[in-house]
Amino acid sequence: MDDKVSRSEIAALVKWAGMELSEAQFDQLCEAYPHAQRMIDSVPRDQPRWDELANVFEFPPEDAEQ
Amino acid sequence: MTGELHHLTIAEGARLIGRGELSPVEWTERLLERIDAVDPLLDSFITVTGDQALTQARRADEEIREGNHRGPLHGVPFALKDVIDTAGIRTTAASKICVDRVPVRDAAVVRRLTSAGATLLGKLTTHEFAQGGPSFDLPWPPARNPWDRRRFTGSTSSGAGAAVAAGLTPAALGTDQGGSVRHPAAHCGLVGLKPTNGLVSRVGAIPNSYSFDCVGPMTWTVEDCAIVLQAIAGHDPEDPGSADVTIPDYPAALTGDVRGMKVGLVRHFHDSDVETNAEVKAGVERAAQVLGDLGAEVHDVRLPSPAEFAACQWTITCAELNAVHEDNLRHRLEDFGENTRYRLVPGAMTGAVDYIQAQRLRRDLIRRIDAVFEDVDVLLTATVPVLAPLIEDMKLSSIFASRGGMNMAFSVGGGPAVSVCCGFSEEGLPLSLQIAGRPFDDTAVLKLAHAYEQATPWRDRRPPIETNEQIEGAKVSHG
Amino acid sequence: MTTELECITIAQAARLIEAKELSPVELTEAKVALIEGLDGQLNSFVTVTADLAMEKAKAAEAEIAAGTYRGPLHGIPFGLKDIYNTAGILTTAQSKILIDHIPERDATTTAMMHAAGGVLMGKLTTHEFAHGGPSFDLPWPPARNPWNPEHFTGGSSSGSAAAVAAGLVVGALGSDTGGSVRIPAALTGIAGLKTTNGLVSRHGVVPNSFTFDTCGPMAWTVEDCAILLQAIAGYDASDASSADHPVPDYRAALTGDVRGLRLGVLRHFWTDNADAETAAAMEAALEVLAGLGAIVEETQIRPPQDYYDVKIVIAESELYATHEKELRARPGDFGADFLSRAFPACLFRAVDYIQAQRKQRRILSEMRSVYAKYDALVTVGAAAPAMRLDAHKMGESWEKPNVTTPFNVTGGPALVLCNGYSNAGLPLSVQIVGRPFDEATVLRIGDAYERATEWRARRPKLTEGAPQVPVTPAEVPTVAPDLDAETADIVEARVARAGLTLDDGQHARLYAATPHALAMGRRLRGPRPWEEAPANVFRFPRRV
Repeated sequence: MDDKVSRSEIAALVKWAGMELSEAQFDQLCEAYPHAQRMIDSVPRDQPRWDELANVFEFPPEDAEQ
Repeated sequence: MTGELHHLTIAEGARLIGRGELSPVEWTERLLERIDAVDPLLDSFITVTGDQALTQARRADEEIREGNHRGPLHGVPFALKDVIDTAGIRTTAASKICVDRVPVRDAAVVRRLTSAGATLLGKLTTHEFAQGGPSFDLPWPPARNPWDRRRFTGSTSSGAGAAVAAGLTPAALGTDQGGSVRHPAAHCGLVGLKPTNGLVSRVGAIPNSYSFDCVGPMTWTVEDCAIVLQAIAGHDPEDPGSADVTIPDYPAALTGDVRGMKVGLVRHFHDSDVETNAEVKAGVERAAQVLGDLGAEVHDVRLPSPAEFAACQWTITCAELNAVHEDNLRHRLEDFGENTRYRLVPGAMTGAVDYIQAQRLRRDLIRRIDAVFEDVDVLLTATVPVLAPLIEDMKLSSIFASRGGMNMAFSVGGGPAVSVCCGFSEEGLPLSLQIAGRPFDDTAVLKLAHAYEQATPWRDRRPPIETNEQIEGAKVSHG
Repeated sequence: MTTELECITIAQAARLIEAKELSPVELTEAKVALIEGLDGQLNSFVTVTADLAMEKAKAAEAEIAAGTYRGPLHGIPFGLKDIYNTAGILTTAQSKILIDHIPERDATTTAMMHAAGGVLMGKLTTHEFAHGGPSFDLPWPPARNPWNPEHFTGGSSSGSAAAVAAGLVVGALGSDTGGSVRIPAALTGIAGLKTTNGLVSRHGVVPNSFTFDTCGPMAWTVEDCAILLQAIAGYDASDASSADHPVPDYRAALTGDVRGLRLGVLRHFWTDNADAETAAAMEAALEVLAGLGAIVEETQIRPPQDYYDVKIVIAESELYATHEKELRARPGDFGADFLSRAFPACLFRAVDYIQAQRKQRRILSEMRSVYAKYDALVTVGAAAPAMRLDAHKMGESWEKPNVTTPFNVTGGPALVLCNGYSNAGLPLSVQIVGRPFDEATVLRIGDAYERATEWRARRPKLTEGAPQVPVTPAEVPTVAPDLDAETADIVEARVARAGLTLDDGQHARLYAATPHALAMGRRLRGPRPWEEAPANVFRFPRRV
């Protein structure tokens, strides 16, 4: 995937998150974002269809006891 | 060991108390004096609960005199990272957001320690909401490393690391989601245990990451760590992540005999994967040798790369932190420190699918760690790849660098991991070894760490803080 | 005998087989003939395993003759939704993506059905990956409703429902993530049970949503559902969400006695959105239950949209993650309907997903007081009878909630059964919802109601060998609605970040869903107490 993220794209993502940033905060986000994106992009996307999450649904104990 | 009251370990103190040779009040008073004198140099406490500590100590005194000695924590002082709730005592997470927050209920671990008779000295400095690095724009300054006050304590149980090393408290509880107990324990030269996920209740600990959060002990010795773990481990149905498992006798497992124990040295972490300081490398290699001499069978093993663990951990934690703080991040972002904003805001834009893939990756990584544990009982790595850096040299972006690389493997894996001091650099900074075990085999890591500690002289050395205390004493008294 | 075998239930057949008055071979032959005669009109099978079925039936017959009777499923012909892995038998999930997928192993539940002596007739039509609507652009056509083949079966266990209603199989297994057992059961007039999350293993069943997937029985009667459930319920260490919970004797719970049971009626689920016939059938059903001695009281839970937001945000994101590799590399190999549901998940944030999980925990805790007050809840199984297949509106699932999904979020059992017929002769239905793991009570209530009413006497009328009624599929929407510039920027940024390449139609349908998807995320915001942890929790993988 394209590693470069434009400022306008980041601005759209900020709207997506429902956040409002000052100019300085936005500048800082533009600096931090590529680091974050690299982390996310290194998470594999080709895990076997059957592979579950590490977190699983479980009834709270008081429900399971009924 | 050193013979000074403030450097007394839990085990020593408990023995003296049991024999009637030390009163809890005397011990508590001495530590409160020392906090008063030394902490202005270290900024390790946010709140000192002197009056309450003395009240608790007096009660312990009475109870023990009446023949009702509750056990090895009775009358023993401790302190808490300030993300662990204390009824009636401000719990701030070092954040402006919580500057006036006074919980009505003790955290589960606090209830356990209190009922074991321990005495709360106060609440310890952390980084804002137990994440990020040292910040100067929060209501409280960052903690200083007692071995060199210009240096970083490690994150994020920073005050806990400083306070235990400096002899301000024999024990502290920290929280760990990516190394936050082990990292400051490493830089401050003490013992820090991230217990197996689910072993210790998190009820009343301000969440950082629901998936990774652990509460763990930080102490000067492994034996003390085992004593504290014994008191806080156990099932709590109120914590959805709590596991219903049988709790072994941790101190009893510290036999010193590790002959035949199979130890996997994860050499590729420090050799090739993570840029590692030469003295740190040498420290780990020497430690492996010591363990071999003790009769453990040490051989090389391979784990997935630290980068994989870090991507998994970061993607999950940062998103969960954003969920925990969503309302405040949207409505009062400026009330968070710069470090927090820098680190957290990108996580507000992580996709749900990215988060799920990271959760699936976690399951896969656990399986791959499990496979390694088929052949070994414990794993060995450095705890941190570097020596404690100068605070002024630290950059905001360093949180995306590899600092957690060696810790995160076992946050993702979820099993127990302890950091123990394995020597000192030429300039006198602590080196640290990380020992990790199978899920719920906290006994094995403590046992090996204890045997190592007994075989090495590192516990005899304390930070050179006394000099500072004498020099700066006058200044401190002006308060 | 043919006519009788066409409509025979599991319980009836089992009595005869055990008494050696009916041979499994004879029953299976009858079903093979029916499939040959009718399935051309219904499309309820993806794969018919007639030869294997005959072998199984002969083996069953021999075993029973030798004195080894395994129980009420021994020699009973059944079908599996084509997401259940079957060793050596094509398992497609109705998708081009799995068009050649022949599993090496049976799903846990497949193996359990075999162990109970069931005779597998084949693999049943579903919606693509147990998701999406009726689609005409997949390698196999959508199933038709046996009550009127121009009408929709409901989905996604569409073939399971059609085959059971038409008597092509005596019982079937479906899966329910948001209503996929109950909706087709409702629209085809059969009984279908969404089981408590964790009660029935999902190991070896193609995943839709790891959080919400459940496997459950579909049959002509509630009693048959109880028999099937008995065979498949129980702990399986291979399924990470499987619950180690005792399994009671479900059939023994069918006493017919519901006197004193407290039933909470969720009228607010249907007053505003159900048609008059559905509403009237519900009132009549409540009278029947009251007449049987149940205490019937009106109550309320949250509006369906609250549960729906939680489910959609979690489940669509998990579905997308499961298929992410193919969604990026070859989206054109999926059907348009599947994609119209999956792609908008790129508009959900991790925070939305986590908040939805936290809200689910809140909901679970709220339900405790409801369960304390009522033994079961009662509401409609569907808001209206089956629509015409050509009336299906792609993308509609984003627009309004349904009446089944709330109970995927609350997680307990939910049974749908027939409570009458519309003037047009289409089935109507009631839904009975219970406490987690209390399948016994909902089955008891459903069975008592069924016995007290005449609805089981009527069957769909189909003529063997008749041609299929043609249906012209509704047009797939291809024109993008106007979005304001800010919203369009969000979509484009997300499509780029997600690494997607969309054609014009896919793009248009993503735009259509966008306002709804973004609104779901927004509704999940807001302050929550810290201790409100996600419903899903970290657990160490079990060693199998």
